[in-house]
Amino acid sequence: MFSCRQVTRLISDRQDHSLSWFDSMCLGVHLLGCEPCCRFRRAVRWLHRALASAPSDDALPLEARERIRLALERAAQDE
Amino acid sequence: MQRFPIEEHAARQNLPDPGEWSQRYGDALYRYALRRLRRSHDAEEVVQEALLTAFKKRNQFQGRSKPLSWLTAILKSKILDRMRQAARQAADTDPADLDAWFDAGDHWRKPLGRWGDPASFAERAEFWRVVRNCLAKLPARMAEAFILRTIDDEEPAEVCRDLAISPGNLWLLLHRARLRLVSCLQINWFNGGR
Repeated sequence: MFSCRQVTRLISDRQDHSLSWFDSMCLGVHLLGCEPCCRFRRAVRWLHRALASAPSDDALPLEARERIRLALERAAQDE
Repeated sequence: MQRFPIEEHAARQNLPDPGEWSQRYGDALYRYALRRLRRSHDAEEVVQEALLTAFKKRNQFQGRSKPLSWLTAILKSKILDRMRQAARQAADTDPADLDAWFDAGDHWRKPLGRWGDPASFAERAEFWRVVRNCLAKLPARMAEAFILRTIDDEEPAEVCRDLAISPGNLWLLLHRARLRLVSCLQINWFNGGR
């Protein structure tokens, strides 16, 4: 039987590739009786959903914007 | 004096004047970089690097793609360069080993709590700050593998190619990245960071 530690590896692997028939069965059986691993599985999926849709309202800081503008201007003058 | 001698040519190709790039595309490029590099200073630097490279290569802009897509492609290759460099410099050791989460019998020491609906935090800036801090704590290679796979939604084979690692290595890195991120969020957001 797989330990919780090994099961977290299977849960992670399943996000990226399909498991062998045997691994998949062991994972299923383990999850039936292990609430902590079920929570980990939900957390991993949660993380992917959340990050894939990560909104971001960060804006390029004004100083950086100005620095970049000047750098481009210098590059144009150097040509 | 003509500040941007290529102006006419650029206009014909639908590429705005380079003097306007940081104003028009700065935010979008910065956000793209920040989600991948995690540190604001690195993100600013790489945006500047990418725009200067774009300036030198502006004659190669074909007008077949949108200017922002063209600039983003250049930015992406700059980001990948940095990731590879950071990954080469980083030791392959993983200091925070898994013992913190599992006992001697490989069972959970402290099970995770219930996390609730992602949509209810997703719009909160503080939440994303915590996520970014958690990503920043990962060793470089691990963070890179995870970011390419999740945020960029690259296929595993593509991630292996981008980072020059084997699939077995990738599964290992992703497993550790997920364990660490999940526990970092548990501690810093769900347990009390709110």
